[in-house]
Amino acid sequence: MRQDKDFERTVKGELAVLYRVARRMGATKEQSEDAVQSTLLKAFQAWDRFDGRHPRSWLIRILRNERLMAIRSERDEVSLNEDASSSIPEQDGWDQVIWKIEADRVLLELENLPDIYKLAIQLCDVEQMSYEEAADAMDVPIGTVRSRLFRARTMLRNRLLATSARLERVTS
Amino acid sequence: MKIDWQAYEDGLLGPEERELAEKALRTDPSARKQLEGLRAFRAMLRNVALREPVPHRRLRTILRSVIGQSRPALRRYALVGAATVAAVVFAFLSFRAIYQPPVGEMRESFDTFAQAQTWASRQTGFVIPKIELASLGAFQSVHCSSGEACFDYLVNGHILHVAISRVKIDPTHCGLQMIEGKPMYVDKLGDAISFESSDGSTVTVEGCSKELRLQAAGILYAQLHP
Repeated sequence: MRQDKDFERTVKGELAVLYRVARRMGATKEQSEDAVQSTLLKAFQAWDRFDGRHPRSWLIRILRNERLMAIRSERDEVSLNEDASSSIPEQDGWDQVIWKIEADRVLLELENLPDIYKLAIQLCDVEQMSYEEAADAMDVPIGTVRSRLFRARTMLRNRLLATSARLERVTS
Repeated sequence: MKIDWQAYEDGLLGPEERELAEKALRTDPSARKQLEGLRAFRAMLRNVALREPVPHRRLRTILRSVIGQSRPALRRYALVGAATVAAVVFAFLSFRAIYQPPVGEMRESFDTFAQAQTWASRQTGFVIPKIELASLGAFQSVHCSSGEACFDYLVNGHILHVAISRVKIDPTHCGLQMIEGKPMYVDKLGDAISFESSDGSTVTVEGCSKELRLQAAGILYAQLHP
């Protein structure tokens, strides 16, 4: 009973995070609820083996595995390879991005990013996890989190700018 | 020299690069604009992403059901142990059996609603009002947690949840609507309908289709406002 209470107390505050991360990984509302449920089941079964470090990262790692397994069963093959061949150089442009952009379009462009980039943004910028926690959650080195986040933000910004420019051309 | 504002913001620049960035911020208005733009971009991203609705109540129900589902196995072992002890006691006490039903469990199945009602009242610490939804579906099980009892009904192959608690309705998460003349609170996702009963309980209906939820809420409202 005590173990159950500890689990409930720890996990309760992470439910919304898990749901949002599942949504960001492309799951529908129903699939996200399923993913949260299977994550909680796995986590509960493994609770006595959990070292207590970064519970959020631990839960997200389970969720990610559950979601990937669900995707694999839906599709024959999932490519999660990072497209490292195309480099995105840092360039100015942060000052242009604001505020021509509506919330819905931001979400849409965020959804259209490759999964690994969406996840980096979700964990670091939205859920405000540290690089260490995000690395733990994504099961990658910290350096990979940094590079994914860098690419993700830049890619998203460039896409939003391109959309804005397109809309401006249409309206003018 | 281009400054990597993301690395600056994330604290990843080395001392020299950081000094250069800070010098640029002091002297160059366009550098400040870059950094402000990046900060505003991240803030907007967070705001937008967090604005997406989350079915908090449903997720709590899932958590409860996960913990509840994992219990029966433990309970089975406990009952086997208890049965062995009971057999020994039984022999010693010359056919006087002692049986203590398990208490404090999260989830139970009962044959009748009345049994579930008694059990749930004991678990939650307040008197659960009698409800009747037989016209919609069959009562399945009840689970309790944190002062809330949730009764599950099987309706057209789906589970309809009826949660009863003494927690007041939080109007920041739902909107008050008059539905067939009855004041009901509909959550922002439209997944749950709540109302206050005449005895001060809060009743929330979740699951199944919107029509069924409305129907169930209407039936329950009438029963709980005699």
